[in-house]
Amino acid sequence: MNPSSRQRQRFLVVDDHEAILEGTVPALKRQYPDVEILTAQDRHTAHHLIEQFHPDLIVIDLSLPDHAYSTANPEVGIQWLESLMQNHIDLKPNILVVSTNIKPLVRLTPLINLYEGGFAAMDKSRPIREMLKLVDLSLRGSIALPLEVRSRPEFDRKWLEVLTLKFQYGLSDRAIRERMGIAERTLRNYWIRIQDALGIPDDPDRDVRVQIELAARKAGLIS
Amino acid sequence: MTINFWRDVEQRTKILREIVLPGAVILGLVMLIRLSGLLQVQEWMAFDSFSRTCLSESGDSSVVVVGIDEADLSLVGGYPVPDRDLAAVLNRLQKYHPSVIGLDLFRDVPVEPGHAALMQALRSIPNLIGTELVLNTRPAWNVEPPPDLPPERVGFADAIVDADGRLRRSILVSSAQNGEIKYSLALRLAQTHLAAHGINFKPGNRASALQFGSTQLPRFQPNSGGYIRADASGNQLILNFCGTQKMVRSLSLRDVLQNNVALDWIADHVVIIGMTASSIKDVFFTSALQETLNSRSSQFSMPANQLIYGVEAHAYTVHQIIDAVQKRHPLIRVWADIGEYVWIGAWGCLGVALGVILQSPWKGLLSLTIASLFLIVSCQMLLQAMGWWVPIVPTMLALCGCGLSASFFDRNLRFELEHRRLAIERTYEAVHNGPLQYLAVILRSLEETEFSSPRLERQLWLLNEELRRIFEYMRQEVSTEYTRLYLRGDLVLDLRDPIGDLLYQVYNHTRAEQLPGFDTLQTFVPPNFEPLKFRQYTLAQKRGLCLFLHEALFNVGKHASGATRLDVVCAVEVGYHVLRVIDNGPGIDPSKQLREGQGTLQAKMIARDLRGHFSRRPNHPHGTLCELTWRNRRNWRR
Repeated sequence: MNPSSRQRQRFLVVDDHEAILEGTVPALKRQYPDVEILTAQDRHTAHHLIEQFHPDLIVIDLSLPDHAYSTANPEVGIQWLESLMQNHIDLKPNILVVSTNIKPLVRLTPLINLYEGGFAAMDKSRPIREMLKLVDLSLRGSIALPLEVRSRPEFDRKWLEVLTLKFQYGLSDRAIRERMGIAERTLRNYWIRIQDALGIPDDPDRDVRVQIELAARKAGLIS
Repeated sequence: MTINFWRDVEQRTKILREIVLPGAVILGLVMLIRLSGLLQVQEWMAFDSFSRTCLSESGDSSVVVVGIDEADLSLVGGYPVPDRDLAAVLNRLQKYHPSVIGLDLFRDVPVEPGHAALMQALRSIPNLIGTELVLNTRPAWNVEPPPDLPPERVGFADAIVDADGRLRRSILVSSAQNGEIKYSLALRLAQTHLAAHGINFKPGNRASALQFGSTQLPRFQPNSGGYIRADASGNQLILNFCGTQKMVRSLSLRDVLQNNVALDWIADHVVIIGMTASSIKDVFFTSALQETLNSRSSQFSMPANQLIYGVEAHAYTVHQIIDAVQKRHPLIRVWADIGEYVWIGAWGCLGVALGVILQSPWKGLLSLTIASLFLIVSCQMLLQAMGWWVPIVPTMLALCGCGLSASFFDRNLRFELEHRRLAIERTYEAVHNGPLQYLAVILRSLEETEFSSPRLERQLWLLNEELRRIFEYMRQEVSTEYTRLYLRGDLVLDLRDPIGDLLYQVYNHTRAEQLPGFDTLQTFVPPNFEPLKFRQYTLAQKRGLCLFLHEALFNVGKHASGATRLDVVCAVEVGYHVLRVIDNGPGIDPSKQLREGQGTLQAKMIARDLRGHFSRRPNHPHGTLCELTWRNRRNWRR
């Protein structure tokens, strides 16, 4: 378990533009009054804050300066995201990318599919309301990418493996995790993504797993 | 498809214009310079250097020079050598049974004492060849042969030197001023020696080559080897000093008179008597020999500038002819003019290719150096082993000139583009970090303010879009035609991006299209292109892979109506890269399989370029599998 989740939740907002921070931070505060919100304006500072405070969610702009006083560059953000998602230590915050150009994320999509935490992205000029919706999705563990990055919903090979192990071999979640060598949270999020991809709504009256099995059989994903 | 094809043609012609054309101009210039004769001296010098560095083979020489040096002159009482002493030497030599004796001394007038004895010797020794001078245009400068010798026992001693003053050719047959056909001393000596061994001489006519037995002596032409419009009158032979380094033995007059001679040096050998005294100027320059009689005696050696005695030059000529006939040693051979120019052109093309393929200047320089060394070694080998005189100077100029020009132009072009790209990226950063950010702030907060009007909002959105589009447009402007790839539906790719990024863009872009096959698809199983990043790909290969993926996905969209699943696999399987597109649609229609579509042809070409394999086949249990496999080796090209 992530130790920080037992305490107060923390968000980290990384953007080198004061004006954006001034818009984003109050909106987040209004929506999540109990959450502690940290801010950073360059990659270096942000990384330190993540290591120190283990935030549950980070909201980042792709175009970032590497250090304070250097110029912002989208490549910095992309590379940082790549290393964050491949990081082997237990720092897997949910991520929301808010940037003026999110197209470069296309090449990270395989990483995003397999990432332990939730991942959402949106164009910076979309309304704040939309951003708050994506914060929720990301915290839930879903993947929410705009059409420019993902033109059609995807079904990753690993998720198919989860379906097969579960409904064809009848393995328990623990056995699946051991077989696939993934963390508990990762598997939980894979289930959420499978549910999303099959278009199954959250309904307290229905068992989600059974719904997933039915839908997957119908789609021919398991035989 | 046709648009892509024409773009491709356009891009190729652009490369042709910008890189290949300068190479072709240089090649043309080199050939023109060679044709003008400006490279003659350099080619001669290169030829001499190659000859000089030939490995000398040890073997019996068929020719012995009896040289009359300063010591001999003081012994006989000065120059000219009296007839008496000459007669004594001839008689002494004849006792050792040489195959033929050449007398490279003019005896048109008596040198008393002992003229009668000499005449007696000339008459009594049947295998003796005397000498004359016939080729001077002014008759007064020519020298008559000894009066008692019949014309078939007389050869001329005239020599021919090149414009740089060096001796490289020997004139064998010529017509004198009165139209009479004359043979040279060397040819007469070789003829007599070979006749004694039963090999007959066929004189040949004006056009054909001289022939001994079955061996032809290659006839010198005005453009032979490095020569351009040389005087090829008569019948001349290019001397092959390469094969005859250190092959001429010499004795002095004293050695013969004092009986200080090994019998097997003379028996059945060609003996030539001539002047080797430094006070008598019967010498030529050569730089093709490691040592000459002159450098041997003076112990002063400067290989690029040796003195060769006239008698020695005759000896080399005789020796080369005899060895060519009897031992099949090579004489100098040359290619036809067209062959030489094709050879130069081929090396020029290699230079351009090296410049274009190895885009880094250091690699280009290194490869040009290696290619030059290879050229030098192969020219040397051809000369030494087979006697081929292959042009090297213009070839080297073509190789290096074309190679350097290609890499220079290519580099210049890329440097300029890189500069522009950087400038545009800086501009973008500035726009992005300033106006676009504020625009974003305005847009996102617009909803929450009460002043918002839909019209203003829409205009701001348009402004936002416009600003971004400007950047995209400028980015496209800096990428040249051949680093750009256009795909259906307005996707423009910059082929300098990593291959993984390109393929993702193609994947994401293509499946967004409204095509019947995609409508029913519920499951897109995405690929992971990561394995590809460990190999380097050329622009053309990247273009090919992108086109392949695009075409394969497009085919699924067009033909696989009713498919519910699209699998794109990118993997490494036992030394091979595999890019596979699998759908579970209706499968290949057997009636359409007969003809190969444009797409299949293109895929096969792409596979060939990657040295891989393409296949499209039915997938089990249903659907179609489209696959490209290629070897997972590291590419040595950049």
